[in-house]
Amino acid sequence: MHSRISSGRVGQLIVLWAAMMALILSLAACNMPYEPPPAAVSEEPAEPAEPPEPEAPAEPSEPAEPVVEHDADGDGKTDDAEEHMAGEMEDDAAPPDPPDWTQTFHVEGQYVVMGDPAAPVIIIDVSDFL
Amino acid sequence: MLRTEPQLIENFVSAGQVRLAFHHNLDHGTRSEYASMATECAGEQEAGKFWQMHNLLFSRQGSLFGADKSDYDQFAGDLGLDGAAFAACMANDTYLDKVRDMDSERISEWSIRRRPAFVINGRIYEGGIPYTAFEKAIQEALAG
Repeated sequence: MHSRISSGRVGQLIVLWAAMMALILSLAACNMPYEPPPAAVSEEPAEPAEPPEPEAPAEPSEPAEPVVEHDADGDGKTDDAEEHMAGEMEDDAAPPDPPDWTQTFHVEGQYVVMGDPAAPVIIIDVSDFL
Repeated sequence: MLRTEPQLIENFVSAGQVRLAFHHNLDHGTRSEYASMATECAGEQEAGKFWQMHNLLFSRQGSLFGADKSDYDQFAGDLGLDGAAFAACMANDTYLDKVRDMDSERISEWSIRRRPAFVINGRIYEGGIPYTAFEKAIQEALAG
């Protein structure tokens, strides 16, 4: 035997149900993890000046322009600058190639002389080709 | 100087201690003149070619006794010389007087009559000299 529920009673039940749902949803929102809003400008970086990890870029609609400067080892100096410095150090360290005096010739009087013009000893070979 | 010259060049010329010159000796008359003129004609085009011709002639010494002037044109070609200029130099005897004068000087200036002979910083050495003697003479000259 079912007892008839009055319409007023139904309305009350609906209101009560809605209130309970609102309460449940608000409680659920409070339990979600906090996400701080994105900072627009940070005046002082919290960590030292390390280049940030690059985020995975979104698929661009057009190819991105190439980065002009590269820093492979992440030490803050660009690769070009390091290569230039290394080249300068190599140039300073490497001595020039010594001259090949056996392929150096000059004229002394009537002779075509082989060797360093400043060599202290001269040997004159008095010979016949036959 | 055939056997010791490469050693002298490798050990002393390359080190900048010795410079090497060649003085023409014409013991075999006209044939010797041709050979000496050939080195001078080569050196006229480029100083280093003098020594290249010098080395080439010593390496083909056996063929020089019967060689005429024109035969040296082949040597010029082997060394990449200007063939026409070389041939003209030889044909005109451009350096004949020079090589003859040098041959006379070895007798008048140094009284050298034996072959081979060497003058090391003005000191004369006649006859075949072993390499060790060259070393000693050079060391003495370097010591002053």
